[in-house]
Amino acid sequence: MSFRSISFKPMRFKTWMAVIAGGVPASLAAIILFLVIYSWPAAHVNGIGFIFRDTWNIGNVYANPIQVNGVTIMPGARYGILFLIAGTLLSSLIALLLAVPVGVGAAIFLAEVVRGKLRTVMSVIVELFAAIPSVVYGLWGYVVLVPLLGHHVYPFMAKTLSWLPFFGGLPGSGYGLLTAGIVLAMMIVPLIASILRDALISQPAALREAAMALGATKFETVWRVLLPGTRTVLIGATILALGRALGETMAVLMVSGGALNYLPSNIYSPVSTMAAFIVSQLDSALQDPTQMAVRSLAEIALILLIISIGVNALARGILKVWSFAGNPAGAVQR
Amino acid sequence: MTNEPISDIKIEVRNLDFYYGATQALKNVSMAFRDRMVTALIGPSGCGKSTLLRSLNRISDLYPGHRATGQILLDGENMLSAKCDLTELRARVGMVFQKPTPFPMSIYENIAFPLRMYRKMSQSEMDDEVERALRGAALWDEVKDKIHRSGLSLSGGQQQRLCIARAISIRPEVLLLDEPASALDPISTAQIEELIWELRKDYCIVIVTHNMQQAARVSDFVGFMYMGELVEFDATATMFSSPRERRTQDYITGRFG
Repeated sequence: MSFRSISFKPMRFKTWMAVIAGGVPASLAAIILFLVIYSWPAAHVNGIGFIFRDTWNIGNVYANPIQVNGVTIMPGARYGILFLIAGTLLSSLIALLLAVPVGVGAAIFLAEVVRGKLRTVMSVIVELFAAIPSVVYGLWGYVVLVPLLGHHVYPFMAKTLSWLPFFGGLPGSGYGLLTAGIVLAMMIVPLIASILRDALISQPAALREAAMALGATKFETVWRVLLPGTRTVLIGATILALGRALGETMAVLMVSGGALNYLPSNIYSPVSTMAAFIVSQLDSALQDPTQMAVRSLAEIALILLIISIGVNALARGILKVWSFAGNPAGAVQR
Repeated sequence: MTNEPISDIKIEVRNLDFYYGATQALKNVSMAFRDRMVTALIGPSGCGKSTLLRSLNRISDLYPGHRATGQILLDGENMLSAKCDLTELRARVGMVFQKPTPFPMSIYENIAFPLRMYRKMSQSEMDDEVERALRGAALWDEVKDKIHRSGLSLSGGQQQRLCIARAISIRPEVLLLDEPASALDPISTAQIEELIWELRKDYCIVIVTHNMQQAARVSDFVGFMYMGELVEFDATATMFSSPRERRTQDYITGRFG
C-alpha cells in the first residue's frame, strides 16, 4: 500500500510538469490561431499584394460600406505594408551593425581589461542599461538625440558622405531610419555585452594561460582563442537582440518620424516599423465600422510574428552550419 | 643515464623568493636545470613546485599580487629583470598544462596559430611546420587524415600531445610540463612519458609530477620541495636509492604527501 502510493507520486508530478510546460507552446499556438482567424477577412481582401504595396488607406469612413470578395469594407480602403517591412528590417539591420561590434568590444573590456571592484560596478551598470524600459530610451532619443543629430550630425554626414550610397541627399529633421537604428542599438548593446561578458569570463582559465604561455599578447589571446570559443553564445545573443529590435515599439515610434506610404530614400529618411505602426494607427483604425483596418493591423502583427520566427530559424540554421563546419566530427562542444 | 656527459646549464635559479600577496610560496630556492635533460620537481600539494615551474616562463605574472625576488637566468640572462621581453621569453620557454588545453579551432589551426604569431610563411611552409610539430609530438600518424577537424574532437591523451606539438611548434629551448599526464589514462600516460624521453634529446625539460614512479621513470634529476623550500636536489638514481634528507625519504616512500 505504502509502496504503491510512493510510486504514484512521480507520475502525478510528471503530469503536472507536462501541463505547466505544455502551456508555453499552447499559448503560442493560441496567439497565432487568434491572429490568423481574426485577420483572415483582411488577408482575403488584401491578398498577397499586402506585403508588396506602399499604401495604407482605411478609406472613407463616413461613406456606406461596400462588398469586395464577399467581405465588407469601406470605399477607397486599400492596404499595403511594404514600407513597414522595409522600415522594420532596415532599422533592425542598422541596429545590429552598430550594436554587435560595440557589444563585443564592451564585453571584452568588462571581461579582460577592467579588474576587481571597477569590473563589478561597470558590469552592474551595463546590466542596469539592459533593464531600462524602452520608453525611457525613446524619450531620451526624442529630447536629446533627435535635435542633436538633426541639427548638427546629419547635415554634416550628408555633405561629407554623399559619395556613399544612401548617405547623401536630404539630411532630414533628425527623425528617421538612422536615429531609430541608433536608439535600438543603444537598447541592445547591453544585452549583447552582458551575455558575451559572462561567456568570456566562463572560458577556462587554462585556455587563457595556454595562449599566454605561447607568447600571445592579451589581444591575441582574447581575439584568437577566447572569442572563437564564445561564437555560439555571440550568435545566440545577436538573435535575442534582433528579436528585441524587430519587435520594439515605443522607442522607435518616438524617433522614427512615422513615415506613411513611402520607402526611405536615404538613411536619414523617416520610417515606420510594423510594431510602431500598429500602435500609432490603432486609434484611427477603430473608426472603421467594418473592422477591416483593425483586422489589417492584426495581419501586420501576424507577419511580424512570422518574420521574427523566420529570422530566428535562419539564425539557428546559420549557427548549426557554422558549428558543424568548425567541428565536422560532430564532437561535443564544451 | 649517469654515464652520459653532464650537459650545460640552461636555466639557473638563484635565491628565488616568491610571494602571493603576503604568503611566501618559495623560500630562497637555488637550483640549475640542465640542457637536454629532464628535471622533475616533486613534493606534496602546496609545496611550491608548481609556482617554481610557473616562474620559469613568468606565466606566474598573471596572478594578482605576485612578487618575485632573486634571479632566474636563462642562458645567463635574468628573466626577472624589467627589461625581459615576455613574448620572446615564452617563445623560448614553452609550457604544457595539467589539463589538455586545445584551442577551440582545428588541429591544424592549433599549431598554425602560434606559428603565425612569430613568422610569416607560405602555405606549404606552414603545412611542413605543422607536420613537423605533430610528428615531434608523436601525433601525426593518428591525425593526418583529420587535420582540419576540431582539436576538441581528439581523445584526452591526443589532446595533450596536441598541446605538446603546439608548444614545440615554435621551436622553444625549454619545455615546462605541469603534471602533463595526471588527467590521463595509463596508456596515454605511457605514451606521454615515452614522448618526454624522445623530446629530451632536443630540449631542456622541467616536469612537475605527483607521481613518484613517473619521476623515477622519466627524469635525470629530481628536486624534492617541501613548504616552499628545495629540500634536496640530486640525480634521480641517487635520490630514489639513497636520499640524504629524512623528509625526502619519508615522502618518496609514501609516509606523507
